[in-house]
Amino acid sequence: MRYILGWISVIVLAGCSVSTPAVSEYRLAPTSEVKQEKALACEHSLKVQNLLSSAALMTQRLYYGVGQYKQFAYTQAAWSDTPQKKIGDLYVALLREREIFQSVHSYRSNVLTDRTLEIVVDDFMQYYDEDYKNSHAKVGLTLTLIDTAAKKPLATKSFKARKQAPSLDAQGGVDALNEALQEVMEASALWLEGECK
Amino acid sequence: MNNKVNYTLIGIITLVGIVLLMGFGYWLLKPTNEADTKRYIIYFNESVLGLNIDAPVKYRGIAVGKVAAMKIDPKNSEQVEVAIDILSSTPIKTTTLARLTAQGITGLTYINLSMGENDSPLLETQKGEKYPVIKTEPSFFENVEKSLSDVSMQLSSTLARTESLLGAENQQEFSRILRSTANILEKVDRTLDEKSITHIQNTLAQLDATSKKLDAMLPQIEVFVAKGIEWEANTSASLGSIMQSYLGIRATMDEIKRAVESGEFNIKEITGEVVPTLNTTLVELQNFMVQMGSVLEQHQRSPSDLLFRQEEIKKGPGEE
Repeated sequence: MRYILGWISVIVLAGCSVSTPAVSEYRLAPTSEVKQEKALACEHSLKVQNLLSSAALMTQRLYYGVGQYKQFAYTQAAWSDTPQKKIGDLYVALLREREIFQSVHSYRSNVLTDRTLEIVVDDFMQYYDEDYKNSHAKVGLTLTLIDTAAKKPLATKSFKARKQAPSLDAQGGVDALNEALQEVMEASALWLEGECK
Repeated sequence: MNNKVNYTLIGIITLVGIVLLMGFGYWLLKPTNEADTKRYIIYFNESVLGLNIDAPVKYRGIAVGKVAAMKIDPKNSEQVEVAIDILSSTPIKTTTLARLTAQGITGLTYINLSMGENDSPLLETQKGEKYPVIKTEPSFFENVEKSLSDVSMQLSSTLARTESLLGAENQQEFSRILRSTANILEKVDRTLDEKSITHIQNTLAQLDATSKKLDAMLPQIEVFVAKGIEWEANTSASLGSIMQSYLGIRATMDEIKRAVESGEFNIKEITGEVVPTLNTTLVELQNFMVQMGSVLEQHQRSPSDLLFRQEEIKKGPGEE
């Protein structure tokens, strides 16, 4: 009996003996170099809903596309947080910083607001050409401003950005994604400022 | 010539002759058993035509007496009072009835007495009457006459009604009805051609077959009805249970209503705190499910990775 238990332990623990390469975790942290003047806040409060995205963006795995159809995940690179959650948090932070609305809250907040922002992630991925000689990142978001009480959309608009990756690896993809995301967020913030007024 | 007459002998013979003559007269005039009769009175309300003095009186076909006298009743001129003498041995009872009966084709009539009930008392002379009075019943002719009279009256009535019925207006109505009937019969005649008759016969045959099937189904229907009754009983019991549950729910709802009205149970306040938290939890749960799905997908793709990592890892661009 002792031998049987011993072999079972060896077999089970054998999986732990496999060495896996170190994984680098990346953050989404777009930095805006454009210094916007703070607008006069409109009289509405806003809640940013949980983003609607594909299941790939609800995990921490860092996916990349090859050609038109193939998709893989990096084995030595991953997101520190899921893009779906992180993009929502970034929007909350940006809109608070710009003071477009009286107050901006996350979907996790219990506060009742009169406006709701729905964000659909149309695209958020690094792409390689078939020959792996060129890489770029694409970000596409669709924002809808909703009257919370009436549950009716007030305005909706899609934003897209494409940036060339500085290097043909995960690091270059993350840089390009951050840059494209920054561009989209800046454009959408300006649009929201106009819609709020 | 011998003139010597024996006057004594002649006197004796004469006396004997007188005695014999008187005896013969007594024999002739001697009262018989028939003289032991009893008188009864009968009042007839009909004509006694054909009935004469000394006409027989019969009791169950036996001559038991004769008519002694007849006259119009001085108290009621529509009645004929007939006195009859009947042998005292004849049992005339209170239920005995007298009836005038024709005697063949002679036109003569006699009185027939019905026997009456056997246990009835004998007829006695009533107070204020001289003789017992026998009741009468109408004769055959009287009945015939009455019947004919009734028939005549009814016939007259019928004729009057018929005359009224066959008035000019009704005749027009009859004519119209007859025309309508003729039209209907003509249509029926046209409708009832050979094909229709065959169809009706087929229908009747099918009806007969259906009736037989229905007869065969009746036991099943009875079973069905019995099961229906059983089902109804079960349903009734279930409804009772449902009613109990409903009453319990109603009591609970009343209690909730009371709590809501009193402010003990503020749904808005409770849900205002719970719903966002629940929403966040559901989002986290959704993320967890996605990650679980990813793990299961990996396991499905390479089950041995659970113990020994065997799947070939495709390294990404820039990875070593």
